[in-house]
Amino acid sequence: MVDGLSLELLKYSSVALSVGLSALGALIGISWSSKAIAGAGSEKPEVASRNIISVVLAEALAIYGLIVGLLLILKMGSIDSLGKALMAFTAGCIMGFTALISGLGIGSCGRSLALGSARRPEIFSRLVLGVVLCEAIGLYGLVTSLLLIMRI
Amino acid sequence: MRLSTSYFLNGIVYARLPTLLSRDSFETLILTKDVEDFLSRLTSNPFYYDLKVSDPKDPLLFEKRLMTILMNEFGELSKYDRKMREVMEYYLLPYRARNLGLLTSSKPMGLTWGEVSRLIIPDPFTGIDFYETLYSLSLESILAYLEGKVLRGALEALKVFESTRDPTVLEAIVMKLSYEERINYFAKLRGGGAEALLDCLLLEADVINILTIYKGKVMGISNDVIALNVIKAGYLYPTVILKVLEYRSPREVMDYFLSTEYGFLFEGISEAFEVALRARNRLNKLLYLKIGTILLDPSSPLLPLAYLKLREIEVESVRRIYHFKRLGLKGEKLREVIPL
Repeated sequence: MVDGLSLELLKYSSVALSVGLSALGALIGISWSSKAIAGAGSEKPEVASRNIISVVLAEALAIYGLIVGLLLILKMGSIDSLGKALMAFTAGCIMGFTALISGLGIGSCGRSLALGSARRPEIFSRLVLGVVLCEAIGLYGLVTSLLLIMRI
Repeated sequence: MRLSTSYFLNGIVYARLPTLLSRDSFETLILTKDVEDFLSRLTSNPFYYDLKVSDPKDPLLFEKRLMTILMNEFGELSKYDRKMREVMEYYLLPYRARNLGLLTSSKPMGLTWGEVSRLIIPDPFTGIDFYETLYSLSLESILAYLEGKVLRGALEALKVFESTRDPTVLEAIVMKLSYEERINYFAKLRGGGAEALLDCLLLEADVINILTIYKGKVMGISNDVIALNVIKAGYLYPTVILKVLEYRSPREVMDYFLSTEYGFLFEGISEAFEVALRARNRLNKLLYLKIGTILLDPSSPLLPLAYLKLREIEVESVRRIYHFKRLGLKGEKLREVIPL
């Protein structure tokens, strides 16, 4: 049998994982890409204005995590069984880890996009797809988490 | 010693790469009518904008401005990262050594500070005051300072000078020591293109040694003096160097290296005066290809140095085109002395 403490732990850790890991993913995405953007942008300002998309998309990951975290907090009162607590924990985990992976991808792709487009500006429109698809991973996590939360 | 990547710096470098002169740009420069036409086309590239000199036919002013542009680039790319500054300082040691060699040899030649300062290459890490202070010291003090700071073995130059009384020996030894010190430093670096860069430096040392021996034989210099100029680094075994030193004529030296992997330096060259220009150009072509591989890796910590190495080769080519144009020589010959 699961005691009350374990149930509470599962509930609150779901929020912590969702918000914490998403914020970490966003941080990685922003810091990795923004260094290259700043360097290339200091030489070619147009590179910075175009590549800011990587920073915006990385920041969106933290917002996804926050949305899931807030919804979980709102649902706290109705989580009264192990099944529901596990559902909340899974929702938090999915959101957190997908945002983290997405942030790593955005950071890495965003950095390469900034460097590549600084050298050859014409490739930006083609390579930006990489950053957008990395962001989609976080979006999948958000949708899955929301569907799980709706079932609580 | 492993370097960490600065993506900020790599971003700057990638943004500056398009300003490197392309093959087409070089073709345009080769086909220019005269020195004025050459300079007007060259200065349309933002990197060379400062070359808009008042008298385009003054070679000293042109050289000084060209070196200032190159050194400013080194200085600018080293100011963002402390470790990169150290790497650049070691990379630029031969340039500094050229200045220091000039200072040391100026003492026995009796040159004034005014004369020496005109010939000093701008140093991005130390101002001209540093050289002026050194100039005020005695020859022995300058060499003792170098021995303690950067160039181990600099005091040996004094012994050689005392026996030969030849001021150029001082310059040559200081220069040689700087190459050795630079290679020693880069041999300690690991990862991120450091191996490729070291390969280039070792190759460069070999070619310098081969050309030193060849030129020594052409000029009839004794083996002892040539040996003093040989850099104690590179892929060539010391036994090979000793063997080649024993050859009497430059033709024998050339024939020996033609049968080795360094044969590409001498292939199709028959005149001794062509060797220095064309062999150096062939080396530059090879270095360009090797360094190009570092530029393909955006995560390489040595990306700024790879870019600057290409810039250095480019500046050398620009200088050659300028002198060809200034002297009114044919453009066709130029293609053999610049790495297109």
